[in-house]
Amino acid sequence: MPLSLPANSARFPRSTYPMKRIRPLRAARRVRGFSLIEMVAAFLVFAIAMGVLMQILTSAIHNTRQSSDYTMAALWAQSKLDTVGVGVPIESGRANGRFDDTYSWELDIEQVDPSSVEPPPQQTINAGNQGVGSVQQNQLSASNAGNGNGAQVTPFDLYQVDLTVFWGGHFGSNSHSAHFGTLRAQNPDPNSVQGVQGVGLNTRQTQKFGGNTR
Amino acid sequence: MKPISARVTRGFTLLEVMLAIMLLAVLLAGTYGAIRTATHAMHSGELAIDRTNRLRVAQEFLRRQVSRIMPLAFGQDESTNTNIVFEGRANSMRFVAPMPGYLSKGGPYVQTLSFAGNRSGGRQLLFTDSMLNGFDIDEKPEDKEPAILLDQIADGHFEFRTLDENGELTDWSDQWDDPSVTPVMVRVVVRMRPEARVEFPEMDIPLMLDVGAVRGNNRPGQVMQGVGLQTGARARAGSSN
Repeated sequence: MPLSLPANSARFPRSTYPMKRIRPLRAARRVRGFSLIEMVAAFLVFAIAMGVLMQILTSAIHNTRQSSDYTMAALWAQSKLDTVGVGVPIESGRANGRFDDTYSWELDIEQVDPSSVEPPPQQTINAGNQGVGSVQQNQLSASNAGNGNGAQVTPFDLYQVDLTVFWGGHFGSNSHSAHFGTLRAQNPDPNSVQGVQGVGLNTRQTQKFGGNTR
Repeated sequence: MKPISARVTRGFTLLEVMLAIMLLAVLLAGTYGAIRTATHAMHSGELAIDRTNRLRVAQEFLRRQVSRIMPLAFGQDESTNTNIVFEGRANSMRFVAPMPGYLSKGGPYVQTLSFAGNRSGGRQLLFTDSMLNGFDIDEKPEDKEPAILLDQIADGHFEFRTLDENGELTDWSDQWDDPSVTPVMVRVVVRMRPEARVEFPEMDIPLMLDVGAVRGNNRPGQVMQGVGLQTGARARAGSSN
């Protein structure tokens, strides 16, 4: 074994040894640990990251709460809208009231001219504006097409029913509102009330849910 | 060489190590607290969503079933010889309506909604259904477990209203007097227990099929009653077997 040593030292020249020993020492001296500034910066980065995380969480909870509030508003609104014109004739006008301690409502009924609601035939497909579902438009188009002259022979009066549900606003919280709209048809002849409800029921499915936050 | 190397790797003082450990501990405690809060908040948020969803599903089902009530007879009152089309009491109602496709074998079903107390003192909204074809009003269908639509109810009742002779809406009443016709509207009033942590918005459900259809004073009514009589006869035939 001792014989192998000179062979090794012959392969690796003597001059390389000191260099290899000195290098780690120099490196160790250069790594002195972190300065105070560096530590503060690290903490700051950590704190900011944590803060952002918490903020995301808070907004998620807030959104959950808000969506459940909107769900409640929609449930209240459906009962209100469904019973409009059932058993009693629809009349133009405004009304408001409260559902409970949290939710209040405002109902706005307005008679609309069917001929102004009906879009030109080529726009039938994409005319989703003014809360008018394509169902009504198709019905109107069909009835008008059958009769030849739309506005005069429309067999029923058309009412735009707008319901707005309000909640919040106490204790500094933001007040919210959700808007629901539908169309109701009513036979102007009171002797055949039965037919009215049938038509009104068809329009029930077109409530639009346009929540706007103030 | 040796003295230099010893001075460089001399290690930390006790003070330094303790300070570092304390800082680390504070940091870890903060992180743990934050994550715990986050998990807890997420959990409670999910519970809140779940509560709202249960309520919404129950309401949607109720509205769907009640609004599609059909004026078909599911029994006959022997004393007055009239068909029973709709039974309504403050804490239960029975009617005929189609079922959602995924729950039915087709055809109208006799359905019962009732408020009943459970073992823990609260009340539940229960739903049972049975096919109209072969339905026997006197036989209590014990084999079918009622479905729980809503739990944790403190108090609840049904109300009904219809049109009087002058075509005006009557007041809400929690008693339905004439089982041979359906009401115009049904109201479901439920007060939830505080631990449910959700409110039940009052439901007003107008029936889609017209009440006039089962009244005796117009032609469609007679047609419908004819249908009702047939099913009544069928029901009786089923019971005699």
